[in-house]
Amino acid sequence: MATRQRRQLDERSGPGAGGEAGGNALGQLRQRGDELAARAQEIIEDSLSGRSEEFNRANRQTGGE
Amino acid sequence: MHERVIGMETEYGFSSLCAGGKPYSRGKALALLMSIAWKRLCSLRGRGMKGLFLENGARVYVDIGDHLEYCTPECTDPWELVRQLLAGDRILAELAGVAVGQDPELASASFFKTNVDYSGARTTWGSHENYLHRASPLNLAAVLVPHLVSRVIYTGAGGFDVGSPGLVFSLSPRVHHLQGVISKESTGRRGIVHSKDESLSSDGYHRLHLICGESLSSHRAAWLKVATTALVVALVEAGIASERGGLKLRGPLGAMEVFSRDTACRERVPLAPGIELTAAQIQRHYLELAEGSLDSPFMPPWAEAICREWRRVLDALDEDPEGLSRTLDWRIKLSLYRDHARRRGFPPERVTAWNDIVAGLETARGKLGKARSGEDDPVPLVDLALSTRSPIRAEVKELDPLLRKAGLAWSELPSFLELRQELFELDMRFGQLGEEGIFQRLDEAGLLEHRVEGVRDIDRARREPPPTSRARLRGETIRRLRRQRKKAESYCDWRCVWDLKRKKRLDLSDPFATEERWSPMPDPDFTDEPPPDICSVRSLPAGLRDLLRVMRHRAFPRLRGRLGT
Repeated sequence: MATRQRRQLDERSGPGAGGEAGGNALGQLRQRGDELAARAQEIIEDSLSGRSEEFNRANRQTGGE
Repeated sequence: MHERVIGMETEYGFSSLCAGGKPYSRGKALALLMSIAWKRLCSLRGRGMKGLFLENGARVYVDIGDHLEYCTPECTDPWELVRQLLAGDRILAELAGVAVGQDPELASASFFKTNVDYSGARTTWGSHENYLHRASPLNLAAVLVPHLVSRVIYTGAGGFDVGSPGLVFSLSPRVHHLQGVISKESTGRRGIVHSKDESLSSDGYHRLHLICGESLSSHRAAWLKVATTALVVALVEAGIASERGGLKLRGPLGAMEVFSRDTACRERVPLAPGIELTAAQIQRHYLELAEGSLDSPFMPPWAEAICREWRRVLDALDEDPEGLSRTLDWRIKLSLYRDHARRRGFPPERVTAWNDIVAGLETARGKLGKARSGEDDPVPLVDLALSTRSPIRAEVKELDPLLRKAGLAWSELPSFLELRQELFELDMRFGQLGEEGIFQRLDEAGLLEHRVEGVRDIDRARREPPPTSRARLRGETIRRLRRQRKKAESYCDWRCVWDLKRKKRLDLSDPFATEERWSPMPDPDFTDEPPPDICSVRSLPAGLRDLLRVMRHRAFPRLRGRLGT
């Protein structure tokens, strides 16, 4: 999640800044950020072959321009 | 408003494997791919050059180092250029899929939009940019250098510096393979600016050909890269930006290295004495020149939209760089790779500490000499560090205090080196074409924000040329001739289409040509042009090259006619 988004939400959800509503919005955004991060993590782990050094050697490339 | 002609060439990484993971001959696979391309794609063979010209005006061929290269047709705006780049990706991905279905021995064929090798070969290949212009090439090069050095903060592909024995993230891994500022070489001593000037068009035009850039997955990054550079070229051409009044870096290569290693985008580099600027500040110099000229007739009609986004991205890099973690290639990768390393027990500070340790081990290995370090088959760092019989046992002990101070243990070294290999694999797979590629998977899951409004209809771009350059005439003529003629009766290059049956040629030397101008074809001269599709004629003895020229002009057309090719 963007740092600026977090900062803005922190400010909005601070004392006297909206109370429960601000806190819910922050929580929802954080939850969404965590969901996105978790999905990205799944894709990354799923992409690995489990034999990375072998994969890298097998995909040796000659130089181009 | 002035139109500009721009184009790009993408060299792809390639892998072909048999079942069980054994390598399938790369040369055989690429020949199969080109054969499939000839049969499936509406195209003509190149005349005097390898490969095929397609009905969308593009060219595809096997370049140096056995890299299949896709050259976009000539475009006049960066939206069309990104469409054509993506069309090339889809064409190649499809060819790879067909190839696997055709040869039972070939279990997988994959293209990668990557830029550096991670097997230990330390090779690189590139993404080349082309800008047609009428400026003085020397003046253009001088003005461009600071722009090219600093633009890595949004054009960098991200990845790792393979020259390091550790894990050093780089905004632009190809930068570490550049060895000069201005160079005419493209495979050895590559320069920030490539001085080749082959206009492939009518007199009066120059073609700036840049090879310092990288293939990118983010549409926005690719769009910005070519658009901002095109605007700088326009400013030089108009005399607004010149060497005399411009920025001059004191050490361009060193500055590019500094910017490529600086994930915070805060480092400054020296220009004139007492003046140091960040990459973003250098970029703002060019942006402000462009913004100041938006109403000028030499600027392309899309300049204002580009300047708006250019400013937005520079502001974000200054104020909230994490906000671009779903947009720019290097920022997407930095976020993913750091997260992956953390999950493996290596937060950034631990990676940095291990980098110092393995650098020490590598230095010690280097002092052993070729025989003892095993230059052709180097002794693994793990064995050098952990074995009681290690020839660098003393040096390993000297590293113990550094290890302890960082809170590390030698037993973690295998995990660190395994992480290194994992991240190399991830970086390779990030740019893999097709549904297995990491970038594509992230995009389809809705995890990225990189698309550019107006870049659409990619599948149409596979068949249709851009509407506003000579590419349109080339593409339409290729389609018509391919339908009407036997395949051996027409040929193509960037400036001409030859219809051998009518003995006429279409002149496309004007990059903005809009009408077909056919003229009688002169009798074929015996030139140094090699026959189509034979890739290594120049390496043959002179007498054999002469024989091939005779065969090309006399025997080959008859032979092809008989074979129906």
